Amino acid sequence: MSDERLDRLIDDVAKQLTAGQPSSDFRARVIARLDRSPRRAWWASWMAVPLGAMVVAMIALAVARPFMGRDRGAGPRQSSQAAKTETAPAAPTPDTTTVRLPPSPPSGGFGETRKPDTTYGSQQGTRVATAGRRQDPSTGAAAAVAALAPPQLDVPPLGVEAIGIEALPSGSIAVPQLDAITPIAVEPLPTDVERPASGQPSPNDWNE
Amino acid sequence: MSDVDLVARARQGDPAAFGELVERHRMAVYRAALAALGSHADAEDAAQDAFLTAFRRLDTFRGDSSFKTWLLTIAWHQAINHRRSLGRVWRRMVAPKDQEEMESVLENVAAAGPTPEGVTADRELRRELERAIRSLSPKLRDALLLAQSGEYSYDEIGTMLRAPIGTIKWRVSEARRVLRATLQQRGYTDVR
Repeated sequence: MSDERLDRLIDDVAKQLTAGQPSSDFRARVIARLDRSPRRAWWASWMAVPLGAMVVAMIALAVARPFMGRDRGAGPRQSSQAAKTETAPAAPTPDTTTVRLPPSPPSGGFGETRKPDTTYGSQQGTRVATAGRRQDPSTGAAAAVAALAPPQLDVPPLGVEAIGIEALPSGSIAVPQLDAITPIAVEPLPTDVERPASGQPSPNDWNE
Repeated sequence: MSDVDLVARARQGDPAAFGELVERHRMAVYRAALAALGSHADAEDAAQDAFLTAFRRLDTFRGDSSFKTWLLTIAWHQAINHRRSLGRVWRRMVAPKDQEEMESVLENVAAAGPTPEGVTADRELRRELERAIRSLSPKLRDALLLAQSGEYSYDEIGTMLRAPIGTIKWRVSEARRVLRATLQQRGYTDVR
Protein backbone atom coordinates (compact mmCIF):
# COMPACT_ATOMS: atom_id res chain seq x y z
CA MET A 1 0.00 0.00 0.00
CA SER A 2 1.48 3.33 -1.04
CA ASP A 3 1.73 6.34 1.21
CA GLU A 4 -0.74 8.12 -0.96
CA ARG A 5 -3.33 5.43 -0.57
CA LEU A 6 -2.66 5.18 3.15
CA ASP A 7 -3.07 8.93 3.53
CA ARG A 8 -6.32 8.71 1.67
CA LEU A 9 -7.39 5.91 3.96
CA ILE A 10 -6.42 7.97 7.02
CA ASP A 11 -8.39 10.94 5.75
CA ASP A 12 -11.31 8.73 4.95
CA VAL A 13 -11.37 7.12 8.39
CA ALA A 14 -10.95 10.49 10.07
CA LYS A 15 -13.85 11.89 8.09
CA GLN A 16 -15.90 8.86 9.01
CA LEU A 17 -15.19 9.48 12.70
CA THR A 18 -16.72 12.95 12.48
CA ALA A 19 -19.53 11.94 10.16
CA GLY A 20 -23.02 11.93 11.47
CA GLN A 21 -25.88 14.25 12.04
CA PRO A 22 -27.60 15.55 15.09
CA SER A 23 -31.06 14.23 15.76
CA SER A 24 -33.86 15.54 13.58
CA ASP A 25 -35.49 17.32 16.49
CA PHE A 26 -32.24 18.96 17.54
CA ARG A 27 -33.55 22.47 16.94
CA ALA A 28 -36.76 21.79 18.84
CA ARG A 29 -34.79 20.39 21.76
CA VAL A 30 -32.55 23.42 21.94
CA ILE A 31 -35.50 25.79 21.77
CA ALA A 32 -37.32 23.79 24.44
CA ARG A 33 -34.29 24.04 26.70
CA LEU A 34 -34.10 27.75 25.96
CA ASP A 35 -37.67 28.14 27.15
CA ARG A 36 -36.90 26.28 30.34
CA SER A 37 -33.62 27.99 30.96
CA PRO A 38 -34.81 31.57 31.61
CA ARG A 39 -37.41 30.34 34.06
CA ARG A 40 -34.76 28.46 35.92
CA ALA A 41 -32.51 31.49 35.91
CA TRP A 42 -35.34 33.69 37.16
CA TRP A 43 -36.15 31.15 39.83
CA ALA A 44 -32.54 30.93 40.83
CA SER A 45 -32.02 34.64 41.09
CA TRP A 46 -35.32 35.78 42.59
CA MET A 47 -36.46 32.85 44.59
CA ALA A 48 -33.39 30.99 45.71
CA VAL A 49 -31.91 33.93 47.58
CA PRO A 50 -35.01 34.76 49.65
CA LEU A 51 -35.63 31.08 50.23
CA GLY A 52 -32.08 30.64 51.39
CA ALA A 53 -32.40 33.61 53.72
CA MET A 54 -35.66 32.20 55.04
CA VAL A 55 -34.05 28.84 55.71
CA VAL A 56 -31.18 30.51 57.53
CA ALA A 57 -33.62 32.57 59.59
CA MET A 58 -35.63 29.49 60.48
CA ILE A 59 -32.51 27.64 61.55
CA ALA A 60 -31.43 30.60 63.66
CA LEU A 61 -34.92 30.78 65.17
CA ALA A 62 -34.89 27.07 65.95
CA VAL A 63 -31.52 27.39 67.65
CA ALA A 64 -32.47 30.49 69.65
CA ARG A 65 -35.98 29.37 70.50
CA PRO A 66 -35.20 27.69 73.86
CA PHE A 67 -33.44 30.80 75.10
CA MET A 68 -36.05 33.19 73.76
CA GLY A 69 -38.87 31.10 75.22
CA ARG A 70 -37.53 31.46 78.75
CA ASP A 71 -37.21 35.20 78.56
CA ARG A 72 -40.45 35.81 76.72
CA GLY A 73 -42.34 33.34 78.86
CA ALA A 74 -42.45 35.77 81.74
CA GLY A 75 -42.91 38.87 79.61
CA PRO A 76 -46.36 38.31 78.11
CA ARG A 77 -47.68 36.88 81.33
CA GLN A 78 -46.37 39.93 83.04
CA SER A 79 -48.01 42.32 80.64
CA SER A 80 -51.28 40.44 80.66
CA GLN A 81 -51.27 40.52 84.39
CA ALA A 82 -50.59 44.22 84.32
CA ALA A 83 -53.49 44.64 81.94
CA LYS A 84 -55.68 42.76 84.33
CA THR A 85 -54.52 45.11 87.04
CA GLU A 86 -55.48 48.10 84.94
CA THR A 87 -58.92 46.76 84.08
CA ALA A 88 -59.70 45.67 87.61
CA PRO A 89 -58.03 48.12 89.98
CA ALA A 90 -60.09 46.99 92.93
CA ALA A 91 -58.41 43.61 93.05
CA PRO A 92 -55.43 43.56 95.38
CA THR A 93 -53.00 42.34 92.83
CA PRO A 94 -49.35 42.82 93.75
CA ASP A 95 -47.46 45.14 91.47
CA THR A 96 -44.98 42.78 89.93
CA THR A 97 -43.22 45.43 87.92
CA THR A 98 -41.64 46.97 90.97
CA VAL A 99 -41.00 43.89 93.03
CA ARG A 100 -37.43 43.67 94.12
CA LEU A 101 -35.56 40.76 95.51
CA PRO A 102 -34.91 40.76 99.24
CA PRO A 103 -31.22 40.82 100.02
CA SER A 104 -30.02 37.26 100.07
CA PRO A 105 -27.30 36.03 102.42
CA PRO A 106 -23.87 35.91 100.84
CA SER A 107 -23.64 32.17 100.44
CA GLY A 108 -21.32 32.37 97.39
CA GLY A 109 -23.18 29.65 95.65
CA PHE A 110 -23.83 29.56 91.96
CA GLY A 111 -26.52 31.93 90.94
CA GLU A 112 -26.51 33.95 94.11
CA THR A 113 -26.30 37.68 94.02
CA ARG A 114 -23.65 38.66 96.49
CA LYS A 115 -23.26 42.37 95.99
CA PRO A 116 -24.99 44.81 93.80
CA ASP A 117 -22.87 46.11 90.98
CA THR A 118 -22.75 49.83 91.26
CA THR A 119 -21.05 50.27 87.92
CA TYR A 120 -24.10 49.31 85.94
CA GLY A 121 -26.74 50.61 88.25
CA SER A 122 -29.54 50.99 85.74
CA GLN A 123 -28.98 47.55 84.29
CA GLN A 124 -28.76 46.10 87.75
CA GLY A 125 -32.09 47.57 88.61
CA THR A 126 -33.63 46.04 85.56
CA ARG A 127 -32.01 42.71 86.31
CA VAL A 128 -33.25 42.72 89.87
CA ALA A 129 -36.68 43.64 88.70
CA THR A 130 -36.61 40.81 86.22
CA ALA A 131 -35.39 38.44 88.89
CA GLY A 132 -38.21 39.68 91.04
CA ARG A 133 -40.64 38.70 88.36
CA ARG A 134 -39.00 35.30 88.20
CA GLN A 135 -39.56 34.90 91.93
CA ASP A 136 -43.27 34.97 91.32
CA PRO A 137 -44.70 31.65 92.53
CA SER A 138 -46.75 31.33 89.35
CA THR A 139 -43.55 31.26 87.33
CA GLY A 140 -41.62 28.47 88.98
CA ALA A 141 -39.68 27.67 85.86
CA ALA A 142 -38.58 31.28 85.50
CA ALA A 143 -37.39 31.26 89.07
CA ALA A 144 -35.38 28.15 88.41
CA VAL A 145 -33.82 29.86 85.46
CA ALA A 146 -33.08 32.92 87.54
CA ALA A 147 -31.33 30.73 90.06
CA LEU A 148 -29.02 29.62 87.28
CA ALA A 149 -27.92 33.17 86.58
CA PRO A 150 -24.17 33.70 86.96
CA PRO A 151 -23.00 35.25 90.20
CA GLN A 152 -22.32 38.93 90.32
CA LEU A 153 -18.66 39.73 90.15
CA ASP A 154 -17.31 41.41 93.23
CA VAL A 155 -14.55 43.57 91.91
CA PRO A 156 -12.73 45.59 94.55
CA PRO A 157 -11.86 49.09 93.44
CA LEU A 158 -8.40 49.46 92.09
CA GLY A 159 -6.30 51.71 94.27
CA VAL A 160 -4.52 53.88 91.81
CA GLU A 161 -2.47 56.61 93.25
CA ALA A 162 -1.58 59.71 91.40
CA ILE A 163 1.88 59.67 89.98
CA GLY A 164 3.94 62.50 91.37
CA ILE A 165 5.72 64.42 88.71
CA GLU A 166 8.52 66.61 89.84
CA ALA A 167 8.73 69.98 88.31
CA LEU A 168 11.43 70.30 85.73
CA PRO A 169 14.06 72.98 86.24
CA SER A 170 12.87 75.99 84.44
CA GLY A 171 16.30 77.55 83.95
CA SER A 172 17.24 78.78 80.53
CA ILE A 173 19.20 76.45 78.34
CA ALA A 174 22.32 78.42 77.72
CA VAL A 175 24.82 77.01 75.27
CA PRO A 176 28.30 78.39 75.77
CA GLN A 177 29.92 79.91 72.74
CA LEU A 178 32.42 77.53 71.16
CA ASP A 179 35.91 78.58 70.27
CA ALA A 180 36.48 79.56 66.72
CA ILE A 181 38.37 76.97 64.66
CA THR A 182 41.58 78.28 63.34
CA PRO A 183 42.47 77.14 59.80
CA ILE A 184 45.20 74.53 59.49
CA ALA A 185 47.90 75.34 57.05
CA VAL A 186 48.74 72.41 54.78
CA GLU A 187 51.99 72.38 52.92
CA PRO A 188 52.42 70.39 49.69
CA LEU A 189 54.46 67.20 50.05
CA PRO A 190 57.74 66.85 48.22
CA THR A 191 57.46 64.78 45.02
CA ASP A 192 60.97 63.27 45.02
CA VAL A 193 60.57 60.92 47.95
CA GLU A 194 62.91 57.97 47.85
CA ARG A 195 61.31 54.56 47.47
CA PRO A 196 62.42 51.71 49.71
CA ALA A 197 64.92 49.29 48.24
CA SER A 198 62.59 46.29 48.51
CA GLY A 199 60.30 47.74 45.88
CA GLN A 200 57.35 47.70 48.23
CA PRO A 201 55.30 50.88 48.14
CA SER A 202 55.92 53.20 51.00
CA PRO A 203 53.05 54.80 52.89
CA ASN A 204 53.83 57.98 51.02
CA ASP A 205 53.01 56.28 47.76
CA TRP A 206 49.37 55.88 48.75
CA ASN A 207 49.21 59.57 49.51
CA GLU A 208 50.47 60.60 46.12
CA MET B 1 -30.99 37.20 6.49
CA SER B 2 -27.40 37.24 7.74
CA ASP B 3 -26.19 35.71 10.98
CA VAL B 4 -25.58 39.15 12.41
CA ASP B 5 -29.18 40.17 11.77
CA LEU B 6 -30.42 36.98 13.35
CA VAL B 7 -28.19 37.57 16.36
CA ALA B 8 -29.61 41.07 16.72
CA ARG B 9 -33.13 39.73 16.63
CA ALA B 10 -32.29 36.92 19.04
CA ARG B 11 -30.85 39.46 21.43
CA GLN B 12 -34.18 41.22 21.42
CA GLY B 13 -35.81 38.01 22.56
CA ASP B 14 -36.88 36.47 19.27
CA PRO B 15 -36.59 32.70 19.76
CA ALA B 16 -37.34 32.04 16.09
CA ALA B 17 -34.25 33.98 15.10
CA PHE B 18 -32.10 31.92 17.38
CA GLY B 19 -33.81 28.79 16.08
CA GLU B 20 -32.72 29.77 12.61
CA LEU B 21 -29.15 30.14 13.85
CA VAL B 22 -29.38 26.69 15.40
CA GLU B 23 -30.62 25.27 12.13
CA ARG B 24 -27.79 26.87 10.19
CA HIS B 25 -24.95 25.80 12.40
CA ARG B 26 -26.12 22.65 14.10
CA MET B 27 -24.06 20.41 11.84
CA ALA B 28 -20.82 22.31 12.39
CA VAL B 29 -21.35 22.42 16.12
CA TYR B 30 -22.34 18.80 16.32
CA ARG B 31 -19.36 17.59 14.32
CA ALA B 32 -16.94 19.61 16.39
CA ALA B 33 -18.39 18.01 19.49
CA LEU B 34 -18.21 14.62 17.85
CA ALA B 35 -14.56 15.16 16.96
CA ALA B 36 -13.81 15.98 20.58
CA LEU B 37 -15.96 13.31 22.21
CA GLY B 38 -16.15 10.42 19.76
CA SER B 39 -19.65 9.55 20.87
CA HIS B 40 -22.85 10.59 19.13
CA ALA B 41 -24.86 10.80 22.33
CA ASP B 42 -22.25 12.91 24.09
CA ALA B 43 -21.84 15.07 21.01
CA GLU B 44 -25.58 15.72 20.91
CA ASP B 45 -25.59 16.79 24.55
CA ALA B 46 -22.52 18.95 24.16
CA ALA B 47 -23.90 20.59 21.01
CA GLN B 48 -27.16 21.46 22.77
CA ASP B 49 -25.24 22.83 25.73
CA ALA B 50 -23.13 24.88 23.35
CA PHE B 51 -26.18 26.50 21.79
CA LEU B 52 -27.65 27.24 25.19
CA THR B 53 -24.41 28.79 26.33
CA ALA B 54 -24.21 30.81 23.15
CA PHE B 55 -27.75 32.07 23.66
CA ARG B 56 -26.94 33.20 27.20
CA ARG B 57 -23.79 34.92 26.00
CA LEU B 58 -25.24 36.58 22.93
CA ASP B 59 -24.55 39.95 24.47
CA THR B 60 -20.84 39.20 24.49
CA PHE B 61 -20.74 38.59 20.74
CA ARG B 62 -19.06 41.69 19.38
CA GLY B 63 -18.77 40.63 15.78
CA ASP B 64 -14.97 40.55 15.75
CA SER B 65 -15.20 37.16 14.11
CA SER B 66 -18.06 35.47 12.32
CA PHE B 67 -20.90 34.11 14.39
CA LYS B 68 -19.99 30.61 13.27
CA THR B 69 -16.42 30.96 14.53
CA TRP B 70 -17.63 32.43 17.80
CA LEU B 71 -20.15 29.62 18.16
CA LEU B 72 -17.59 26.95 17.30
CA THR B 73 -15.25 28.30 19.97
CA ILE B 74 -18.00 27.92 22.53
CA ALA B 75 -18.91 24.48 21.23
CA TRP B 76 -15.35 23.29 21.34
CA HIS B 77 -14.87 24.42 24.93
CA GLN B 78 -18.14 22.82 25.87
CA ALA B 79 -17.06 19.58 24.28
CA ILE B 80 -13.67 19.69 25.94
CA ASN B 81 -15.39 20.15 29.30
CA HIS B 82 -17.44 17.06 28.55
CA ARG B 83 -14.32 15.19 27.56
CA ARG B 84 -12.64 16.00 30.83
CA SER B 85 -15.30 14.09 32.63
CA LEU B 86 -13.63 10.99 34.01
CA GLY B 87 -16.43 8.65 33.00
CA ARG B 88 -16.26 9.60 29.38
CA VAL B 89 -12.52 9.29 29.32
CA TRP B 90 -12.82 5.84 30.79
CA ARG B 91 -15.41 4.77 28.23
CA ARG B 92 -13.25 6.00 25.40
CA MET B 93 -10.29 3.94 26.47
CA VAL B 94 -9.87 1.14 24.01
CA ALA B 95 -7.75 -1.89 24.77
CA PRO B 96 -5.13 -2.23 22.04
CA LYS B 97 -5.32 -5.32 19.94
CA ASP B 98 -2.68 -7.96 20.21
CA GLN B 99 0.31 -7.54 17.97
CA GLU B 100 -0.26 -10.91 16.35
CA GLU B 101 -3.83 -10.10 15.50
CA MET B 102 -2.76 -6.82 13.97
CA GLU B 103 -0.08 -8.48 11.91
CA SER B 104 -2.54 -10.99 10.52
CA VAL B 105 -4.86 -8.15 9.62
CA LEU B 106 -2.11 -6.34 7.79
CA GLU B 107 -1.08 -9.49 5.95
CA ASN B 108 -4.59 -9.75 4.62
CA VAL B 109 -4.58 -6.08 3.71
CA ALA B 110 -1.42 -6.57 1.66
CA ALA B 111 -3.38 -8.93 -0.50
CA ALA B 112 -6.47 -6.79 -0.48
CA GLY B 113 -8.45 -6.71 -3.65
CA PRO B 114 -11.95 -7.09 -4.83
CA THR B 115 -12.23 -10.49 -3.19
CA PRO B 116 -14.44 -10.88 -0.12
CA GLU B 117 -11.30 -11.54 1.93
CA GLY B 118 -9.82 -8.31 0.72
CA VAL B 119 -12.92 -6.37 1.61
CA THR B 120 -12.91 -7.89 5.07
CA ALA B 121 -9.24 -7.07 5.48
CA ASP B 122 -9.83 -3.49 4.40
CA ARG B 123 -12.59 -3.20 6.96
CA GLU B 124 -10.26 -4.55 9.62
CA LEU B 125 -7.59 -2.08 8.65
CA ARG B 126 -10.06 0.75 8.90
CA ARG B 127 -11.00 -0.44 12.34
CA GLU B 128 -7.37 -0.55 13.39
CA LEU B 129 -6.78 2.85 11.90
CA GLU B 130 -9.74 4.18 13.83
CA ARG B 131 -8.23 2.84 17.04
CA ALA B 132 -4.88 4.32 16.13
CA ILE B 133 -6.49 7.70 15.55
CA ARG B 134 -8.26 7.52 18.88
CA SER B 135 -4.97 6.70 20.59
CA LEU B 136 -3.26 9.76 19.15
CA SER B 137 -2.44 12.58 21.48
CA PRO B 138 -5.42 14.92 21.85
CA LYS B 139 -3.70 17.78 20.05
CA LEU B 140 -2.88 15.72 16.97
CA ARG B 141 -6.20 13.90 16.98
CA ASP B 142 -8.30 17.04 17.35
CA ALA B 143 -6.47 18.79 14.52
CA LEU B 144 -6.73 15.77 12.22
CA LEU B 145 -10.41 15.12 12.86
CA LEU B 146 -11.44 18.75 12.57
CA ALA B 147 -9.43 19.20 9.39
CA GLN B 148 -10.79 16.06 7.77
CA SER B 149 -14.38 16.65 8.75
CA GLY B 150 -14.69 19.10 5.90
CA GLU B 151 -16.75 21.50 7.99
CA TYR B 152 -14.11 23.99 9.03
CA SER B 153 -11.41 26.12 7.53
CA TYR B 154 -7.94 26.06 9.03
CA ASP B 155 -8.67 29.54 10.32
CA GLU B 156 -11.69 28.29 12.21
CA ILE B 157 -9.78 25.30 13.54
CA GLY B 158 -7.01 27.59 14.69
CA THR B 159 -9.52 29.75 16.55
CA MET B 160 -11.15 26.73 18.14
CA LEU B 161 -7.89 25.15 19.23
CA ARG B 162 -6.28 28.50 20.00
CA ALA B 163 -3.28 27.81 17.80
CA PRO B 164 -1.84 29.44 14.68
CA ILE B 165 -2.81 28.02 11.31
CA GLY B 166 0.76 26.81 10.73
CA THR B 167 0.63 24.85 13.95
CA ILE B 168 -2.66 23.27 12.94
CA LYS B 169 -1.25 22.22 9.58
CA TRP B 170 1.82 20.77 11.25
CA ARG B 171 -0.36 18.81 13.67
CA VAL B 172 -2.37 17.31 10.83
CA SER B 173 0.79 16.34 9.02
CA GLU B 174 2.33 14.95 12.19
CA ALA B 175 -0.81 12.95 12.93
CA ARG B 176 -0.54 11.30 9.53
CA ARG B 177 3.13 10.54 10.10
CA VAL B 178 2.45 9.02 13.50
CA LEU B 179 -0.35 6.89 12.11
CA ARG B 180 1.86 5.61 9.32
CA ALA B 181 4.61 4.84 11.83
CA THR B 182 2.14 3.07 14.06
CA LEU B 183 1.02 0.82 11.23
CA GLN B 184 4.62 0.19 10.26
CA GLN B 185 5.45 -0.70 13.84
CA ARG B 186 2.64 -3.18 13.81
CA GLY B 187 4.04 -5.01 10.83
CA TYR B 188 2.82 -3.22 7.77
CA THR B 189 6.14 -2.93 5.97
CA ASP B 190 4.89 -1.15 2.87
CA VAL B 191 4.51 2.03 4.88
CA ARG B 192 7.58 4.19 4.55
